Amino acid sequence: MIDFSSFLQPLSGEPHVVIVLGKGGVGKTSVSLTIASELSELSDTLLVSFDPAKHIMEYLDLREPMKVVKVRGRLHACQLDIDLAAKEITSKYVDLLNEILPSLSVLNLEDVVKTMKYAPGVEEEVFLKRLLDIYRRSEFKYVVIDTPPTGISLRTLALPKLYMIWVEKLIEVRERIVSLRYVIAKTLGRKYEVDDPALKKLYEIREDYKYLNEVLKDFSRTSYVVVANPEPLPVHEMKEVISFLEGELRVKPKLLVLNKVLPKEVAVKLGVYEQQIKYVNEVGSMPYKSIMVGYLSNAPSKLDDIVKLKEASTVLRGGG
Amino acid sequence: MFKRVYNVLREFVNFVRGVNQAIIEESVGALELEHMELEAAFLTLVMGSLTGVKTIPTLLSLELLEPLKDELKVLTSRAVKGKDVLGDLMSSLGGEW
Repeated sequence: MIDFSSFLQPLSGEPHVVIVLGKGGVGKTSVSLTIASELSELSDTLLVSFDPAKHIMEYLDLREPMKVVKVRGRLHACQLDIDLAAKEITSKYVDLLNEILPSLSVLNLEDVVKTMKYAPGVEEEVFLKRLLDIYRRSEFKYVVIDTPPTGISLRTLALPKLYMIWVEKLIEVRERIVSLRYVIAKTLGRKYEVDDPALKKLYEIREDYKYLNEVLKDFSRTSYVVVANPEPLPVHEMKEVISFLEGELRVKPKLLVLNKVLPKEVAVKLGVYEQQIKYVNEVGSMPYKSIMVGYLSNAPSKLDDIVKLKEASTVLRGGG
Repeated sequence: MFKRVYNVLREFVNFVRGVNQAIIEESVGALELEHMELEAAFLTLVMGSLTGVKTIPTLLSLELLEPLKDELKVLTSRAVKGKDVLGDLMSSLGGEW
């Protein structure tokens, strides 16, 4: 039986965050749960699912999303609900928007806020906010994140860099405004309040995203696990994810998991044996630690099923 | 006699002060205009996504709402009440246009 978390060492930094990435349906939730369950034997662990499919609610019998629930021992879990999270964030701005931009009430302000969550990029921004909260939380030593489908996950991971560019530009303009105000006030002999709340807020935001940008690239704070099946598209996405991690974040995945590998006789019968061997060899030849997990006739659907998943696992490549 | 001289001198000093003030006002006029336009550009950048112009990320706009509350009200008021925005702009540039 393989211990998945032993492949992720060193797990320094508190909390150490394990981000599990991969194409939809490859078994990210099962792998996340396996790693979280193992880590919970070492210390307090939180499994957070950003996956809109909400598989862990079914898996762990969670009654409602957005609540941290103790599952077993030191394992806790939380399912993020994008609608609720976006509503939580945007609803506190309704009154403020109403006061500042009453013109929006012509368009029915409530609707503006309601539809805000569907605006391009808001979903990723909500994930990013949660990610920042996770890194700043101190009550868990380990946090495992079951991510949404690859596209959203990668965009979310790329956002801190994009945010930094925006914020830097805004700071530049704002600093010019503040200095102009100062010069005008000084020349006219008027009193001038040096503190600018907007500039202060922008500095805070810059610090937040700078921090996130750093921890996402920090090998000792964040581990990336990429999951795929021995099929063309999942392996292609695995390669895309690795290329993104190496190109954009300058980090390497700590572990690759090739899940749902069919037994030889079944693969031969289905005519996919050659293809399966090709992808097993391809993933095994990548310069990262990798594990192969055999196909389970009954897909894992509850916490105890992860034992079967671990029993069906073999090491593809031990060294990095 | 002394009082008359004093009054003349006082008027003169006031005149010089007035000229000085006018020079100062004139010299900061251009700066004030740049400041005003820069503020408008900044607010448009920040609040663009709320008004249909996709500029900065939406949640960033929301986070900056509170500290920019007063400026936004001034901008909205200028936009709503301003009758001759172009005229205002030209006159603030010096009036010789």
